[in-house]
Amino acid sequence: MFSGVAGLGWAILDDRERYRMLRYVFVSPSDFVVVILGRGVARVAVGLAGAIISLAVGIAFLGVDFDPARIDWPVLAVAMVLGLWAVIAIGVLIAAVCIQTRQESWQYPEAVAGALFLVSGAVFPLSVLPPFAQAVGLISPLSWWMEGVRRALLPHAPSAIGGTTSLFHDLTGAVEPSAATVLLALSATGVLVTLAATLAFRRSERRAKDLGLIDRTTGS
Amino acid sequence: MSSVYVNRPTASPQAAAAWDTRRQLLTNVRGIGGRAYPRVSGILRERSWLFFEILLPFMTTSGFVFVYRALHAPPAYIGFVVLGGAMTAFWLNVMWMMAAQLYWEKDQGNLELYFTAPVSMMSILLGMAVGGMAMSFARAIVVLAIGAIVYGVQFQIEQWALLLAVFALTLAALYGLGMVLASLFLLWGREAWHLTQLTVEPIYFVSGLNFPVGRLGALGALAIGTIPLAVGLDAMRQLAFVNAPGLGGTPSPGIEAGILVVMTVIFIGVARWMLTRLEMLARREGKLTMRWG
Repeated sequence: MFSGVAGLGWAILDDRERYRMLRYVFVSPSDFVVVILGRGVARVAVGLAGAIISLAVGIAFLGVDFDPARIDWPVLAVAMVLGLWAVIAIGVLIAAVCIQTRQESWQYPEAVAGALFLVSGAVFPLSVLPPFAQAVGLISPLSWWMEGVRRALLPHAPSAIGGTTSLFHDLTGAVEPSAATVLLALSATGVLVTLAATLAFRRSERRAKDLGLIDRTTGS
Repeated sequence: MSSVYVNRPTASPQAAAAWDTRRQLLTNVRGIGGRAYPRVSGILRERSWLFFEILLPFMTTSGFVFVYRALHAPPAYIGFVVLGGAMTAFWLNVMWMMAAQLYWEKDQGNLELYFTAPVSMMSILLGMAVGGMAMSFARAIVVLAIGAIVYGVQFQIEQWALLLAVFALTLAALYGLGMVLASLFLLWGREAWHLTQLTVEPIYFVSGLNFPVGRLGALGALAIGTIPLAVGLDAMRQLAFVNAPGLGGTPSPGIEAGILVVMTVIFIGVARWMLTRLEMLARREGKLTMRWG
């Protein structure tokens, strides 16, 4: 998640501040966003390797109850495709911000990724958060992605979104979302984020072009 | 008092280069101010940092607060997390804006100007530290204040003087380490980026950023003996949360202050030696400041 969300922002900063290649990429015949997406896919691949290693360490040394025979492969496949799509969309959104920022904005992408981590239910259930933060979590595709992957890999793990004291329970009356609900919510939130990312990136690109931000290096 | 910067005719170039101590000192002080200036002025020019550097990192810190709440940990642990979150600002500043900076200055073509300028490299690095600290202080204070207000963290401080001394020593040792790493990253060449990444999460873990470092046993002891963040944070926790549960198995704050003094002397001494050597290499071989592609 971190690699995908922060990776595209770093790609912009890398190319502009370090390699000073962003202006050449920008004037090349390729579509700018496609090049950036390519960089993002590479970062996601690196992140996947990290995720596999974390899972392996968890199973081997931390006693995670994992049984390959119980994996819900269809749910896993759909959740991964939709989730990675949403992660890259959020990455594009952050890249749109990084095109505009000056000075040392290297920590910005990671800060956003860290903040989303809070409301994604990755390390604790959303129900411990205040209701407004739970609401943010429910409209973030990352929460639904985590829920889908967790449900597919660890069917008996408790839900991070549901629970009797959760906002999800208050809104729907269900203790926890079904697999279909998770995938539907992931699709819906993913579409919203993709639309927002597309609009934001195009607008940021135009503004950067107008103001000459593409080749402005700003190290402090 | 006459200015040291007035042009005065000299008998020879050697005589012109022979500066008195006052002139050297004033030039270095101006060098510190000059290098700190872009960082301080940058804070005012690009206000997005208020959101990205303060609010969002605080949410990461909040994540650990909620982990402890979900696990029903003692309330003191929330204080440990908030203090760790505040100190993160300084570690990130040291790593990203000092250790990796000389390498990036080389990329930007500034490094050769630094080596030819009539000021010590230590002054330039100190200027970076002073400028970077302005932002880090702001972030640390906001994290502590929000932590106290939002999460109800209550500090129990009995030895204010020692706490402030430990904080100052931690910063001195951290920025001394930053100077050493800046020289090392420059010598190692490419991929300062990855080296910097390598020093973030693993150091957070072994320094006990979100939990008492004493829980790590031998690994924690090793961290206390080698990493300023680990020893400084542990001492500050002992001083800011007196008698809090979970803070056992590490030396007393007084001893940890002594460790910080030793670290400061060693790091600054090593940094001075390395920077002098780098300057010599840069001037003699002319390759250190060269950009490659």
